[in-house]
Amino acid sequence: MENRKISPLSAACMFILFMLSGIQVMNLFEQSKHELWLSALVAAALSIPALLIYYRLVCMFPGEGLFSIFIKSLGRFFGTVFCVLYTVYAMGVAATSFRLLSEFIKIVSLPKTPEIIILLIFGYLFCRSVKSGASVFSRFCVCLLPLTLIIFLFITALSAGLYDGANLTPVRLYDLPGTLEAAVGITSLSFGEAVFLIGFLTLVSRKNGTPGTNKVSVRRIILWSTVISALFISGIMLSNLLVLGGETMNKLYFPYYAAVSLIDAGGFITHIEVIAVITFILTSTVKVGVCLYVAADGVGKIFCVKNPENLLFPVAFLIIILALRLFDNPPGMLSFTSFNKYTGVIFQLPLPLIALIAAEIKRRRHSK
Amino acid sequence: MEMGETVAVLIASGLMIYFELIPLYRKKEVKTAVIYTVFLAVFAVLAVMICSGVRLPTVSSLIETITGR
Repeated sequence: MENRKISPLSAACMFILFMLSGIQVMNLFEQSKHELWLSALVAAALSIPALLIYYRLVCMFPGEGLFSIFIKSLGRFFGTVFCVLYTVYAMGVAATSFRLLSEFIKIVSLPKTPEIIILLIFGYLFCRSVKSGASVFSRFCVCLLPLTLIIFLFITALSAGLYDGANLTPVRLYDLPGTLEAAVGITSLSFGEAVFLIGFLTLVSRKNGTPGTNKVSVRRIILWSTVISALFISGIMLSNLLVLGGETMNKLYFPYYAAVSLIDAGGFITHIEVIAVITFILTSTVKVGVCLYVAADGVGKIFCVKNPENLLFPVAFLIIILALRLFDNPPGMLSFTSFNKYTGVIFQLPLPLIALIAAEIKRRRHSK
Repeated sequence: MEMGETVAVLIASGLMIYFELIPLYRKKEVKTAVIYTVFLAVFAVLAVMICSGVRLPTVSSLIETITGR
């Protein structure tokens, strides 16, 4: 696609927003909510091997997209197989984010609006946001990130009056398996899906503007974005826990929204849950936008289309259909997300590792 | 309500044909246009079916069948 150059700051903003996008729904797949804040930190640590693989791939293929990397490292046949798999995966992730967003909006504010109408409107918005290319989209993320972080900090500060220290229980040894399971879920839903950002990170330009990937910047982007996202996710989970308590969180689909709706700053600032909706929409724009871009790029690669941005709308339409048929009702959402975390791991760790090993073998053969 | 949804789907498909698909055929990008047409047709047919109340299988039900849970 056009405009193939991204500044390190833009890439970092995109990375952080991408990681934060699932924050409203991260409690969906776990039974115990008491250690979710700790699980977010463990998840960041668990994602280190995957992130190192992505970093190495980015360094080995400067300026290449995700699918070009697969074809160059694995050859035409196996590369195309990987392209098909990752295109389907990108469509699946986009569909899941789409559906969670529409489900969220339907449950909290528009219960009588048909989901397909919500999906069509957001589908159009998401397509328009990525239509102009990776560079413009990354600059859009620079505008979004400060706004999102300010909202998160503002809400956390206002929630401070509602904190109940009794809701925070000590971390117990027998809760460790549950904490680790939640960490795997958060890794799969947030940090591991950064595999889609490989194609964007290879476009990070050098400071002096010369072509080629800025390896130092990419390393810093991955490191600091992961740390910042992990701290924010953990902080928000802790804030939710302190406001609502573990038992109440277990009964809610969207505890962040519920926690925000309780805010009452002296009767002056109340009912600001709409802000929670805005942050969810903003961060989802980035995640769905990235997945849409990757899916359209994948379809373009599979069918050898020169301008894959022309396929954004039809791919978005297919994603909308997929989103509608993911699950029937909110309880189905729980079983789907709990299964989804295990399928996601396959695309986030073993498959990129195979591509990396193949690329390393090819590179050594060439150097001989 | 179902009728309204179907109309919305048809309007969206019509707008895409007018603003995106016809310009693609005019620019002679035949391969892109053919893929576009197929995807749009699949979307329109499935969306109208879903809006009309046809019960298509869900991914979660397929998962439940496979995993036996």
